[in-house]
Amino acid sequence: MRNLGLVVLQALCLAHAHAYYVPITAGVRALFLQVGEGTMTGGSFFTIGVPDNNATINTVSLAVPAAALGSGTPLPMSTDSPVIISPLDLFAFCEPPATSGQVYVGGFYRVPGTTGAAATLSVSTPPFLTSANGDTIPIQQIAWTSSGLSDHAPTIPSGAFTGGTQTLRSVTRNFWFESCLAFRYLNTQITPPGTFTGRATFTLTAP
Amino acid sequence: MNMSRRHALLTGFGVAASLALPAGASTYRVDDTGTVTSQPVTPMRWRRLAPGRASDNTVEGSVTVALRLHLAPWLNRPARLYMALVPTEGEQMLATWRTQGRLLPGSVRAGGRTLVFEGTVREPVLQENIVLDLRADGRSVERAQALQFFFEIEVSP
Repeated sequence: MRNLGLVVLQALCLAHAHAYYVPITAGVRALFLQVGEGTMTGGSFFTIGVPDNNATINTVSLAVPAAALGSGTPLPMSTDSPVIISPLDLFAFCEPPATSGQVYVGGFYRVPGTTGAAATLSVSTPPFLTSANGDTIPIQQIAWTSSGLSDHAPTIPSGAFTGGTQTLRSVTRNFWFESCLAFRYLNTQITPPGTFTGRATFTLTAP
Repeated sequence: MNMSRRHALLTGFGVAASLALPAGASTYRVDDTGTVTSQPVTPMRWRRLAPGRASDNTVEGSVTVALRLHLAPWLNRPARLYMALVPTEGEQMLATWRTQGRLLPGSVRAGGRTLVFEGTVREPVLQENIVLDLRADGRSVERAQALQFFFEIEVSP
C-alpha cells in the first residue's frame, strides 16, 4: 500500500504545469511571377490583394518595312500587353506600352529562413522564328532593353535571346524584383517575306 | 466593477506592494495547470505575402489563452506576478497581449519577462483570458516550434 501511495503522489506532481505552450508554424513558401498581363483580386499585394492565374500569352511584334529590311538598324517592337502598374503596390512602373512596347516582368520568392539557395528566373526560346513556308530568322535577332521608373539599375539585365534556356537572373529570397522589357528586332539579315513567330516562356524556379 | 476601475485598483495595490516588498523577495514558478489555448497550432502569416521593395519580412500570429494561475500558496500576501517567454530559435519573438482587466496588458521579448500584476493576492486561482499577438522576422522562424510561456511570482520571504 505504501508503494502505491507514492506512485499516486508522483502522478499528481507530474500533472502540475509550470508553463504553457503555444505551438506555431513558420511562414508559408510562395512563388510569384507575372509576365505581361496578370490578375489580382483586391488591388495589389500591399492591399492584401490575391493573385490569380492569368493564362494570357502576350505578344511582341513588328512589321518590317521593305525599304528597311536587313539594314542593320534595330527596329522597336510593339506589344499587346497593357500593363503599366506594378502588382506590388500599383506604382506606375512601366512606360505606357502603346508607345514604349514595354512588357512588365516581376515576381518574388518568399520563404522562411536566412540560408538556402535563391530562385532562378530563366527564359526558354526556340532557336528560330519560323514562317508558314518554313523560312527562319535566328532568335538572336530579338533583343531587349530593361528599365523601370525610379529604378537605379535594371533588375533584369538587358540582353538578347540565345535560343534554348537562358538564365536571366538569380532571385534573392524574400526580395521583390521587376523590370519593363522593351524588345527590338536587330534587323541584320535579309529574310524572305512572311510572318515569323516563336514563343518565349519565362520560368521562375525555386530550389 | 468596470474594467477601468479594476485597473485603477490594481495600480493602487501595486504602489502599496512595491513599498511592502523588500529587496530580498523570493521568486517562484506559478502552477498554471488548466491553462488552455484557443487553437492547437497558431499559424504565423507573412504581414505582406510579397516582400516588397523595402523587404518586409514580418510574420504575425494571434491566439487566445485562457489562463488559470494557482496562487493559493501566496494568498493575502503582497506579490508581483510576471509573464515570461523562454528564448526562441533564431530571431527574438515579440509577444504582445491584451487582457480583460485582471492582469495588465503588455509585451515581452523571448528571454524576458514583464510585470502583469502587482498587489495583494486575493484569490487562490486567478483566471484571465488574454489575446496573445506574436510577431517576428519570418526569415528567422524557419520551422514549427512551441513557444513556452510561464509565470513567476515574487513575494517577500
